Amino acid sequence: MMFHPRFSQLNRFSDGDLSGGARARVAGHLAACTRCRRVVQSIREISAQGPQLMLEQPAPDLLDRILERRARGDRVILPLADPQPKSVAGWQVVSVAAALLVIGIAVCFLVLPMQPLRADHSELLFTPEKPEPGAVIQVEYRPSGLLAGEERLVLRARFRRPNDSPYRWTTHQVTAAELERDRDGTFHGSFQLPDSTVYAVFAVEDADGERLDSNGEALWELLTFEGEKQSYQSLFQRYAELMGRNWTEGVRNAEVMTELYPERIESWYALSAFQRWVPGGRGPDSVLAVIAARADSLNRRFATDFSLSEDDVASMYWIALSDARDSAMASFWWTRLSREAPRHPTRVQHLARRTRDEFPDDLSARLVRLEEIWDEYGDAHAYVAAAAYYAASQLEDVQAMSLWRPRVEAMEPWGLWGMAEDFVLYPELREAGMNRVRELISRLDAERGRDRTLRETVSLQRVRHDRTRRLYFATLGKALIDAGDFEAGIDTLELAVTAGWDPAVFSTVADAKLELGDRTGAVQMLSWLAVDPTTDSSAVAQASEAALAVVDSARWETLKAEGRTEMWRRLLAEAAPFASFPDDPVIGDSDGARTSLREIANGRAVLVVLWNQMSGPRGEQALHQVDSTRNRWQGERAEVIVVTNEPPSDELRVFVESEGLDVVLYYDVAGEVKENLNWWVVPSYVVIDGEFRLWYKGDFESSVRVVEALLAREHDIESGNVLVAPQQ
Amino acid sequence: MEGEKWRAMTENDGVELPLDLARSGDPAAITDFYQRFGDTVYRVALRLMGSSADAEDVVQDVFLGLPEALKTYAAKGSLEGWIKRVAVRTALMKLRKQRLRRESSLDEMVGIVGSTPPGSPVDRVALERAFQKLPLQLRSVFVLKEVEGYKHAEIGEILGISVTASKIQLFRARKRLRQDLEVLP
Repeated sequence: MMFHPRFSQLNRFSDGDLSGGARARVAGHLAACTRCRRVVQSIREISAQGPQLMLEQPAPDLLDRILERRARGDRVILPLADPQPKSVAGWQVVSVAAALLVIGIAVCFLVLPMQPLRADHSELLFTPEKPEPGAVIQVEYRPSGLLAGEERLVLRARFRRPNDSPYRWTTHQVTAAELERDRDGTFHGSFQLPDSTVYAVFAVEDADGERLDSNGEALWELLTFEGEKQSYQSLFQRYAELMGRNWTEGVRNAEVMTELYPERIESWYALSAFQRWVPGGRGPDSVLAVIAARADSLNRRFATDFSLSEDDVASMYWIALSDARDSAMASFWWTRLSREAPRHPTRVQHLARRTRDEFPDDLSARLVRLEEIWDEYGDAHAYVAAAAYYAASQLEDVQAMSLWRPRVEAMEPWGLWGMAEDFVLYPELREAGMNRVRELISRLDAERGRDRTLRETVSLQRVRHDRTRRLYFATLGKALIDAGDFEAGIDTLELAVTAGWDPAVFSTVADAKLELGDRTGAVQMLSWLAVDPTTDSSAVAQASEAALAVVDSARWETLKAEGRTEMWRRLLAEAAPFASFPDDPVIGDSDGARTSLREIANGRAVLVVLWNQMSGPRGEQALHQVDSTRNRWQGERAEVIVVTNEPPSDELRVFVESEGLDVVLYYDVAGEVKENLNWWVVPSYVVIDGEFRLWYKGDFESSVRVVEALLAREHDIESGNVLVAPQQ
Repeated sequence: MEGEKWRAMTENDGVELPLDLARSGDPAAITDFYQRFGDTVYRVALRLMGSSADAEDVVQDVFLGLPEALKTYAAKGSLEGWIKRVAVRTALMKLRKQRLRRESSLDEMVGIVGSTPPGSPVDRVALERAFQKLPLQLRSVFVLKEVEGYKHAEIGEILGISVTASKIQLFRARKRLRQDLEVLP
């Protein structure tokens, strides 16, 4: 009797997606089976005929109608951003994109539960007030009640060097000093600022790293000076530090840069960049016009100034491209850059970028050109390596991927995970990919100290690491199974699902278990996927379809009910310990009427979105997320609201209306929400339960999950399904 | 210098078309853009929307909003790729808003299909019919992958789904098409 491969296997064979052994087995079968050959042929034929579908042309008068409508003043706001990926949109194999998203979120946000709330009115003072790099700094800390009872505290820091990048790509955290308590209750200590440091941020915590004063999330900062004014490099690193964290402060900082250093062209570029980004990429015409006029003025002033530094020439090229958006001006500055600074990173970067236009459809030729650029300009250009690795991976050229991998890794260690995920997909690279994943797992422990952010307690970091580790285990387990090591694969997958609530992991494990014939285990994973509130409806339908092929509908419903209980147990276990809300902040609605957060909560769970118009590129997205979520709980079981620190104004109203949003904005009248929630990073998402306890502060999707977990818990308690121990 | 890398990721390269004029809403510039990209936008819209009337609506929306949209255009790829992606988003948004569950307009389709290559196991006319009957999500993935040539990762970004979901939905689309074409062995 002949066993035919499943359609899914033939489909993957057609796409070249099957790994070595499986591919050989299917190929062997096809050699002898006319029926399956015909299936593969039809799949390929369907694909081949795709581009021939519907080759109609538009009506000849369509352009006239468009021009006529524009002349009448008709305008359309186009959707310019892709939707946010769902955390789980399928259940069969791990999603590279979703997995990266999870990692990204873990890095970018405090997704995790909050520790004690506001650290009211503490102070951290540095002497001298205007230090230079290398100076010995005396520290005086006047604690709030949070840390006042300690004998000894730890001052943690992130030191920034002149060329460090934004976010945490090239920086890490260190213990700067131990602070000892004096008789008057103040703490003192000292440290030497490294010679390479131009700017630093600080937080104070207890010896266990569990109680943390981050100055209301803003951290404390230390700028280095040149004489009486802040050094340019310290301001530039402050610019990098603020990127993506607090756009309002970022604009102010860029303004200071231009005031103190008007001759540094880069400071003008920094200002315009923030001015464009702060409105969330909307860039009002009036702002863009000001930026363009300023670019024009700088161009006239510096075009014939041949004493400019290489960095300034490079900055003028950026300004011509991005601020003036003037191709003639850009061409002029490109010529100067090529003549005066041919090896400048900006020029090399643009040479690499131009390969996309030179060879838009020929990735092989693009790769050859990038290799030439690499050879000609040396190996210090991360962008060239990243562009080449991208081209190689698009070509699925495993040899080229192997060649470029170490070059990328040498300069962009944060890219290790992405490449590891790529590699495990290819039989030839799988072993190398698995070794990368193993290395990442060991790094989690080895780099625990330097990896912990200044706004993160030890417990919070542990939860984040556990989540990341589970993702690594899932990827490793799946790769082991693909490599034929089933026993090790299953054991590793089990590690991935013992704790936590990670739909991307469940997806991988469900797929692996199905492949291995463990249908019972797979169905349990599918039930967990199906009950996760962020799983999209089509993925839920797919999971149900797959599960109902194994169990009947009554069993499926039971599994889902059990899955809901499992979800809240796991999610809320991660979220604890939580904190009680100190006050009941007064907020005002757009009509000026005052209410309080507790009144709005009215015994329900509330997802509070902290937002303002200076929320940067994620700001608009935040409001759209609220808009799409507000009917989720229909205001009965839970509520979602937006709180802003901007007073009601026509401008604000017009903005919300122009976005087509049906969102009520509450105003943080007396700054009490800000004070209670350590509101500094915007936008932020916060979850408060019906008893007015704070459970979560982090990203949107996780917040929705926590609200659903609270509701599921409430449901189980009310229905007598579980006995829940009183919360601390 | 590290700073150059992240700064560049948000910025723009020069382009050949009269971008500034188009951004200002100049009719001649819009005409230039239409003549270059109008067919492309129409076809991708037609394949996603399923009817010429809806496709024309999408084309109108895209070119009515193009001048303002171009102000945010940061050349991270070809201009055609960018416009096509805007068209895809516009069509998908329209479909979602209207919750289109349109019956296939087969009569409209039959007249425009080509002939089937000799010896092909797949009949082109039947394929058009089967294609029109695909559910929205499966059709979207099929069009983006098999017709427009996007990678699964790009489809994931456009549709807000994972790479895996994109692969699965393509698999399901092919399976449905084969079932409808009755070429199952």
